[in-house]
Amino acid sequence: MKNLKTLMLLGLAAFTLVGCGNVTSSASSDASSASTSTDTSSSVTPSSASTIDYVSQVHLAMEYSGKAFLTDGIGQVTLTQKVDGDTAHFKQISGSTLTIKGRYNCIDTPESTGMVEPWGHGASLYNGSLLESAKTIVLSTDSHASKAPAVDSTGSRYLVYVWVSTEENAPIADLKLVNLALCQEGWSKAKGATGSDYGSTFILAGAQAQAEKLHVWSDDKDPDFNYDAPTTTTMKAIVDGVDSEGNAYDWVGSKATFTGIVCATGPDQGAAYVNKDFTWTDASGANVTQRYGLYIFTSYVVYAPLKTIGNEVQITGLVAEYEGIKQIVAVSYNEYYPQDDDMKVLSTGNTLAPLTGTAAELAQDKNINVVVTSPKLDCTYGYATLNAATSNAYSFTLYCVDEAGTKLNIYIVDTLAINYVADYSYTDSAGKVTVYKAGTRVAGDAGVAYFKDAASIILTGGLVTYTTTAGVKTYQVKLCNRSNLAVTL
Amino acid sequence: MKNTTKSILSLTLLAGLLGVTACGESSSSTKASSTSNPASASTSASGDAVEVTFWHTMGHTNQTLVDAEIQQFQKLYPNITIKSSSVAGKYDDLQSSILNAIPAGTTPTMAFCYPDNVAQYLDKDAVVKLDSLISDPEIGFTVADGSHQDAEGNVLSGKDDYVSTFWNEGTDYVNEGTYSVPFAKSTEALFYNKTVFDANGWSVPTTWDELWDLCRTIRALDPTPDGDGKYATYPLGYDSDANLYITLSQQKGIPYTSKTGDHYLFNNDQAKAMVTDLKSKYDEGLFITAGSSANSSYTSTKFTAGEIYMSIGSTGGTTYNQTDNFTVGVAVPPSEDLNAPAVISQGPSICFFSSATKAQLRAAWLFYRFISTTEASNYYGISTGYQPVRTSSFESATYQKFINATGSSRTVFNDVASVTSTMNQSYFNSPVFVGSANARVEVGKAVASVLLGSKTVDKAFTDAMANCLLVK
Repeated sequence: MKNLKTLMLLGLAAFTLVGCGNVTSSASSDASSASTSTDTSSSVTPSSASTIDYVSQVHLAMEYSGKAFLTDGIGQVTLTQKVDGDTAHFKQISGSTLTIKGRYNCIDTPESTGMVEPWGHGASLYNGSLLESAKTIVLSTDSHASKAPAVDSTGSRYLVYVWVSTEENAPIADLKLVNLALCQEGWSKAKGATGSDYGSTFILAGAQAQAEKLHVWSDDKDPDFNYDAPTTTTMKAIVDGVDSEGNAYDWVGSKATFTGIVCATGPDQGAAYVNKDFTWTDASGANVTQRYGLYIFTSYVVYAPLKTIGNEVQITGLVAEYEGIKQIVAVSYNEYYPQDDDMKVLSTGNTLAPLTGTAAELAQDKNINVVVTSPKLDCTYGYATLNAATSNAYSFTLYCVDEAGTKLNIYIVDTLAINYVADYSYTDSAGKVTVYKAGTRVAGDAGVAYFKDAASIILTGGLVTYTTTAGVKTYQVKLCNRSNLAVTL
Repeated sequence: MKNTTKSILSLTLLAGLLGVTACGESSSSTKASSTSNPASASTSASGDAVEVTFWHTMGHTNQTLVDAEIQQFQKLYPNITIKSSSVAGKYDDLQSSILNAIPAGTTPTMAFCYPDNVAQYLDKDAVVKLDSLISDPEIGFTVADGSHQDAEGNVLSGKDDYVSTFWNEGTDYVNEGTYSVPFAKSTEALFYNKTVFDANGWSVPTTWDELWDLCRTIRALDPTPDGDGKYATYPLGYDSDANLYITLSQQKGIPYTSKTGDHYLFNNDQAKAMVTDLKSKYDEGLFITAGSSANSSYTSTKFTAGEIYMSIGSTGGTTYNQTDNFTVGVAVPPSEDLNAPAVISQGPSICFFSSATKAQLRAAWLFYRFISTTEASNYYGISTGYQPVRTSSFESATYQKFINATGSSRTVFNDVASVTSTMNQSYFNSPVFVGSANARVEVGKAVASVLLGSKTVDKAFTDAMANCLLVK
């Protein structure tokens, strides 16, 4: 890791140097070579005099000043969250304050959050080093997107070119394309580049990185990726962060085999919350029983063992962390071609009822990833976020309290269609009244008002935490299935 | 696979290996040309290690499957090393990478390809004619690779065991011969909201006439657009503008492209009338496409959100058509004439490059055979959602069990496999030539621009033709 961090810093320094315009020759010593040649223990190939700095050859062709990405396809933004090597969240410096979930155009770095793949961690660090040092960040869309900025296959993320400079309000000639830097440095292969604005450059930069065996192209293993065989352990050990001897151990990035009971399916396609009760004797000699849970993310693949609540399953997967919460990824199951590490159904029909209690009892770290049924909640405010590929699919973040006034929020993903339980009349800020029929989909500001107007909301889902941009830690019940929501008007 | 079959296969392929090692040439020997006979060429005797590079577009999950096959293969052939590399995320990018590698002499031994790609490589004399390998007495196809019986009881093996359209795709180039071989295939399917269909008593349309009638019925339920002329719901979404155009042209017998001669035949009155008709139906609010939807998004996202009741899209994108919001039904896409169905054939084939040595080519061919046997084709197809490429795979007990799965193990993927298994006689391949990929892109853009109203039909076709003629 130390070497990787050094590499990142050197890469950043070199990138900045290029950004200052000190490197103009297309075939001279460059960012790529400077960032890799000193890392003698890494797998990258030392630079050669023939290495080309493609990043310095590509420039933004359009002024960004006074424009907004969501409406003009180009605009200055600020970073709100770096997610991984090819995804980050931004806010426009003017215009809509909606979070722009940006998926970098023309590349596809190895995963490092929901899924973990070799070189993903390094790609994420490199992307972060460029974004976090930037004083100017500009997003642009491909000129082939003839209408609004294009979105990716999930519909929830905008395809973006990310341009940065360490200077404030940098002129466009000084902006460097982060997408291309990631490709040139071998943190990503080109994906969807052909036919795009800078497609041929991405292909050439990728070919150069391949020839130089940088990172993803390397014949060596990623020193930051755990290639070890899975360790048989328990959910408790994974969640508590201890090894078999009880010593502190960070499981993130390790393969583990454990057992648990499927307690909820969703909300991501194929995913499930797996819980299990553990009993032990505490220091005072008293027996303590506590439920533990993990979220199994299957990359939207539906596996039979996780489809049925009550299945006791043995799972082998990679421990990952997404938005600060542990989850299990890289699981497998193939009924027709079984492998040793596939999920196994150990027993069926097990009952592990959702945890219940007051908001104060549920909203605790120890219950994270545990399936809970909320007490009656009163929504005080909230907001809806539209999936840009749709006209009516919103996610909802609802800020709620229970009868004691303790906060416990609700999160509903945009892939779950929630319908009005009865006709609902909504008056918007302009005084316009709209009546939404029972059975139609709850959406937008009217949907937020609907939840606010509800006498009570009870739901079953996984308990998660979310830290706001203001740094406030909140607890949310993440609705797993649309049938697990009861709204009383 | 029965153990006896495995043993036969192993021994057969091992014999092939002996052919490689006994006849293998040193790496410094003369390269095979695209017209040479790589399998039977005289080579120096050696047991030297052979390295095969295999470029593809597989993501992590699919690559893991092939990696497992590589391990098995290398146990059989310890002197062959298969270096598998996902060089690019999409086929177009892989083609770009290979086109860059050709002049540099750095092409892989074998690679994923679409026929449009191979036409480009063939134009540069960069791909190997495979016929001599296919029929090579030592390493050519064997019955053990896969076979099935026809209606008369004749045993069909080798290339005859492949679904004919899948195999013929690799033989339909400007040059005579076989230049690519099928690996895994996909097509388009009609995904529909079965919950809504059942509630309304709608039948799944089988012809375009039925489909448009149903679209009008659905539109009548939600007849009012918003101020921008957009509707909250659409009866039909078609994910690929290009596939819509090409499939309709094929079904209607409208000239699209030609392998020889002027190539670009789509700028004709019939085609313009077809697109004019589509524009009319689009204006009625009967359908949208990815190219005509906001943010250029796949219509599957709208489908799972309940905003589209039918979505015609690639079976390769089945994952994106799954939802718990309603029951998803799967059907064969509509035909113009049920007696002459035509559905598009997609999915990767594999080609081999003439920069490789003869030993590399023989080793690569052995590897192709290993990953395309009846059971191997099942293994990749069932595990990924692609279709197998051999008739014997479709007929195998394993695949029949897969398409007939019941209970909690049945998913939309089983439904797709069940539907596509009925479509093997319905596939068509478009003519391939240098520039055929561009024709596909341009007709797709033409459809989108007409639907959106940014171009007239005449202008869209004129521009598409001009753009095709600009690029060779």
